[in-house]
Amino acid sequence: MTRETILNIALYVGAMTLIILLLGWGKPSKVLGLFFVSGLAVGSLYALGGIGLVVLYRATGVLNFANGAAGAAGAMTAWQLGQWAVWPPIAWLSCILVALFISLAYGRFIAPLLAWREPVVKAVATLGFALIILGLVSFIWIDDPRSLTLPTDKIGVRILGLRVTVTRLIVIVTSIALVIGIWAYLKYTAVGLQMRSLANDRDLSALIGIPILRVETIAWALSGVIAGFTGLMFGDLIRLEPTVITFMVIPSIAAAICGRLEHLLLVLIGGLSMGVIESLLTLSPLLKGVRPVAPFATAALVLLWYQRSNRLTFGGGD
Amino acid sequence: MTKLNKLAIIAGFSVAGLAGQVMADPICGMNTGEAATGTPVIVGGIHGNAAPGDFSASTDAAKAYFDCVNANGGINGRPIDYRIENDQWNPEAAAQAAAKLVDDAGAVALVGNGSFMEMAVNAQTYVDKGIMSMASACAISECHETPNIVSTNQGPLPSNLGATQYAQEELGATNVACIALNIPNNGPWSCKESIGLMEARGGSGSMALLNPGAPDVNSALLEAIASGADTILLNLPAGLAIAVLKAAEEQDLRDAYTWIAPTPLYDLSVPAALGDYWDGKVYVNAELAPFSVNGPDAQNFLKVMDTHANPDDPRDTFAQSGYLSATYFVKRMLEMDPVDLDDRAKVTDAIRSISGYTSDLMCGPYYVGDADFHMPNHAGWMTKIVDGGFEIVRDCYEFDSAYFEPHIAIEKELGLR
Amino acid sequence: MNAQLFHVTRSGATGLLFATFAFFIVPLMVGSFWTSVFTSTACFALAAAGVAFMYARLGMVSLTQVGLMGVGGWIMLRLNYAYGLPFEINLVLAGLITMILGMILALPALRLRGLYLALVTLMAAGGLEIIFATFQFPNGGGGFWGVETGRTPFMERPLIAISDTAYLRYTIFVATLGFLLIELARRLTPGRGWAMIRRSEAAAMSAGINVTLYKTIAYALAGLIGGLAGGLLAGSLGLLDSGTFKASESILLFALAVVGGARYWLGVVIAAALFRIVPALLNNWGVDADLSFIIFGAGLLHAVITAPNGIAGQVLDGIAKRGAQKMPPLDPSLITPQSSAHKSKATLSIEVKDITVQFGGVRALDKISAKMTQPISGVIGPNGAGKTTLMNVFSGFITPKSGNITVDGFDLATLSPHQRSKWGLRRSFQKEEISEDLTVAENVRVQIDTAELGNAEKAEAVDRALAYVGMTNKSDVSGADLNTFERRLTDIAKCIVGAPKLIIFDEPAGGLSVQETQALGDLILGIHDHTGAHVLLIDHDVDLIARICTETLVIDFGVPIAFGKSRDVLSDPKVKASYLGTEEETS
Repeated sequence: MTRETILNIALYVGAMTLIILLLGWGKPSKVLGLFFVSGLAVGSLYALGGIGLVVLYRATGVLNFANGAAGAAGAMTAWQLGQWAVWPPIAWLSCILVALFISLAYGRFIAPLLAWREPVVKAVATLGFALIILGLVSFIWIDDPRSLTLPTDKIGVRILGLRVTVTRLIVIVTSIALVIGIWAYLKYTAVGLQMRSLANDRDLSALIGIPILRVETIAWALSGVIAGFTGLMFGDLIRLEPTVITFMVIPSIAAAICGRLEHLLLVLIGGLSMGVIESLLTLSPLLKGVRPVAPFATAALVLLWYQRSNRLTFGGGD
Repeated sequence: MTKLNKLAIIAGFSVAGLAGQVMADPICGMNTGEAATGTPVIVGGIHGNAAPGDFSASTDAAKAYFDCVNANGGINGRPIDYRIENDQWNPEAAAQAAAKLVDDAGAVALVGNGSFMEMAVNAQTYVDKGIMSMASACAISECHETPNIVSTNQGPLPSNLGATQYAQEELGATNVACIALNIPNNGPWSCKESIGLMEARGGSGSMALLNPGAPDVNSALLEAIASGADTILLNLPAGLAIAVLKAAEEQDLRDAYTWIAPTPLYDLSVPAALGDYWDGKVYVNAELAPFSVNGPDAQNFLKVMDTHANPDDPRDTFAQSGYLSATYFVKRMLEMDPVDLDDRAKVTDAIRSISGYTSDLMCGPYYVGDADFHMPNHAGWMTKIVDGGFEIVRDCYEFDSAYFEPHIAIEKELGLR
Repeated sequence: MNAQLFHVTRSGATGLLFATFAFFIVPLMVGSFWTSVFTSTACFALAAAGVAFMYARLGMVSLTQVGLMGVGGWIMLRLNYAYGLPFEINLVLAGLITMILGMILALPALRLRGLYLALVTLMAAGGLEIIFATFQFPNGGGGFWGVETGRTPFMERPLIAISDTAYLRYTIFVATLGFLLIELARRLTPGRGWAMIRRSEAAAMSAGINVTLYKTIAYALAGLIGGLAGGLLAGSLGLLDSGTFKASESILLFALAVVGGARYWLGVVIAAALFRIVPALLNNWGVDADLSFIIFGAGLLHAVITAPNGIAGQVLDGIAKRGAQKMPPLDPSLITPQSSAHKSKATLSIEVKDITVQFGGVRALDKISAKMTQPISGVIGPNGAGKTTLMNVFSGFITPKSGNITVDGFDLATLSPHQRSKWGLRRSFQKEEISEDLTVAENVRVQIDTAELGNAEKAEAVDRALAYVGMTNKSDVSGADLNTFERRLTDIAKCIVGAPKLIIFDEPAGGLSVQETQALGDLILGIHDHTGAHVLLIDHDVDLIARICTETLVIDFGVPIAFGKSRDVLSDPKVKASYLGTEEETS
């Protein structure tokens, strides 16, 4: 544990404690507990979205704005199949398959055309793709109140006074599983090693014989599956509206930034923290109106903190 | 609305209609059965159809009615050239739509407008250009508090008031928490009067505001609960209201509070979206007659839609509202000299003089009046979500608030009371 | 330089022609609807220009521009209701305050680059979106936020442009001024600074450019432009809605600037047209809003893939190629360094004392010491020895763990990298850092932009430097059209312009032919006589070093192996063993 890490941890714990104390001052602890857990619930969604983005970014260098759109398409498909009385597990599987298909289509056929462009341009291209998917989904499913329910919505546990359904617990468990699983995958498998190499330097990796296309396809497929699951969860836990699910990608990017687009554990912690701060701001009469700013302010501050000692780089790309 | 629900309505009405009646042709305008062939009268309509919502039902219905009128002699022989623009929920596009219709096309009136923000953007333009907008689907204060816009729908202020009033009178509400959007001319504007009603009757109220795009509705719900309320008023569009109820379901709060809502939740897709958990527990105010009332106007509305609208066009409350605006417009225009129909000033004066038009779709009489505010529809029904549908729990009742004093004064002047 | 400043290029002439056409003819051709659309397009074209120049000239991505427009619009409206000032004053104030806000937002972001920079601007845009949605735009109410439900807004337009048509002309005029302002900045010192920053921040600092200052200027300009655009939009619509200033709109504007072609005025106009005219057109034709999304997204994606330079780039490059004439490359044998009236000045004494540099666990330089007193000193060593690291210490990019470098007793550590250039330190990099956005003369001019000389004196200094290296005929050629040798010569001119004290050449002969290397050596040999500066030369080419450098320092693995007269050092057995190689012993 370097000094840097210890400093960061201390700063984080200190800041969070300060915020919780400031906002919760004078409120009954029961109320504080409710908002805290509620914040964790929302934060876990930010974290899940962020994890999906970072997994793809680490392997391909693409920040995928269309992640949310793919998830929205999947969620609407699952709802539609539910309306047609298809056995629910098939509907959920279809959700994931639709998102997988959409991600793969982009990753396999369009992304390679942009491989040599700079990261911002690659991200902008995914925005174009997101608009296409969103337009398509909105066109097929006209505006109407809908809702997606999962059997796990019915069962729940009480944490600090707030009832947390199993669905929300699944989100947090899956997020943790992804953090550990992806870390292990990248560290211990051959494909994982190839992915890390690819993210570091695509051209060099090609030169040393790494099967670029194959590795990237796997990365996009993985990202698609995560996006599908995320879309299903957003559809159930936020609302089943394609636009809302699609644009969840922006707070997800905020969570991804907390992890420096790299460390999944930090994305998880960042996302959870953002949610907690946003929720706790409801307790402040002055700031409760602007509480959705919390993810953005947090991400911006975190990014600036990380880059405060930025130095010039040399040798090639400055 | 799903196909299933549409079929249900049509089936239901067919059965009701068959009770001693033949499915007659719709009654539109002069009812001559012959197409109108004179110089068209140019009328405009603006709706908002893009993410996040589709408000186009009102202009679709108005169009259907105008087509019917055109097939039945028009307005004293002159057909209506109805031009619809989409503001796509974009304020610039709303301004451009008004520019196109009012300046370029030279419309003499606007009928059937359904939008979340068009009214705010264009209210001053309508005043400056001396044109009246007989809107049908609005949600903001400008729709009711500016000189040149009048709507057949109630908007959130009266509808929330009605729900709160019912809850206070019948459900034992003493402290209402109003969960609403934090848009000043929508949420706070409408919550204020409902809270005022509670306070005038010895109770209390508070607001818990939400940002429309926010993924987290939990915090608003928790805020409402933390305020010590016993009644939760869901002053939100249907999608958000469903999300809040879902969050409440997660917390198993159904029996701990009374749940009331204004008209947006009166939508046939809503009971299915809410599920069995909420059966019999959510009370919804209806600004126009619920479908089960099925008076002659309601039936005519369906006939007009069946003969002149697309099968996909919704037959919901917004559509009924659009139909109503169109009928009132045509009724008034029929009383005018056909030559004057090209004179915007004369048309505006005529519209302003509308008074005492009734319909079984609306509780009270429709009127416009020569004032800086218009809210003719301020009485309604109360329903309850039961068995996957809606059941009327209170028929037409007046909403009680000091807010309506100026409106009641005008109604007395016009001899409507 | 003054003639250069007001020189109208072919592209510029077309632009002015287009603006004139738009100003005079277009408003006459269109009805109320299109007047409104074109006014909006002009406002967004102005805003897009701000985004485009940041990206094209500096390589910086700003995803906040529409948010900054919102700020400008907010200020415009607030001032409109608060005081009875004329429209123009309100507009200028809106622009200035937004400019300041842009600078404040920029300060923490100055250390960020690339994707991280883009993301932090995105976060700012997200924050602004929430603030606008919560507090809305002033409509005449009281209090700081000036919002009151039920108030009828009334926005005063400029006295000369009350009608919609007149206001369209007004907007086009202001937008054109904005474009010209950006072009003006580009032709002056800021533009040269930006071009160097885009090329390499290290090279920019070495050229004396205060990178922080110039980046701030860029943000300020973009903020000013954005604020003006927002103010104009407020004047057009009379009221503003938070829906116009979402974060997604900022991203879209940037994307369209890239698609249109950020380098070209035509590209910016195309971007604005795509942003406002195409949606209006689709809406006019009754295309379903969702289908419009699909068409838009597909177009965006297609354009990003097939037109890396943007649509304008594709169009204009096609035209340019046909008219391009390339000058023949410079003949190295023609280069004869002129000696000047400069008497051989006393040489500087450069003392490198116990320099140690550590990167984590690696000791890159270990107690390097040398006292250089000859006019030309050399540094050699195998790859990875630490030569460039030592040069980076000289430049100020790396702070040594211990030790210092003094020149005639003056400790260089007291100066920041860009200040050292003004002091007289010059450096050429292994990869010659010549900006392709600038001409040869402009590239050299950058080096003395900060000197306290008059314009004419600076121009003269540039001419003298170019004459020395023999590039006078090519002084107006763009950096993109030079070959390696010509670039290196420009590099050298850059190093000797003004009053240099110490010039560092980092492997200047890389990529040059034998003839070219010979010419290069001649030039370097003559530098001390020409300018009085001390030269430090790093290279692999032992013959070059032997020919040119009087004294040489040999480094291996960060450790000094030998230092002294070149002849002695190069025949030192230790040096031979580590670097030059020993002959195979034949037994």
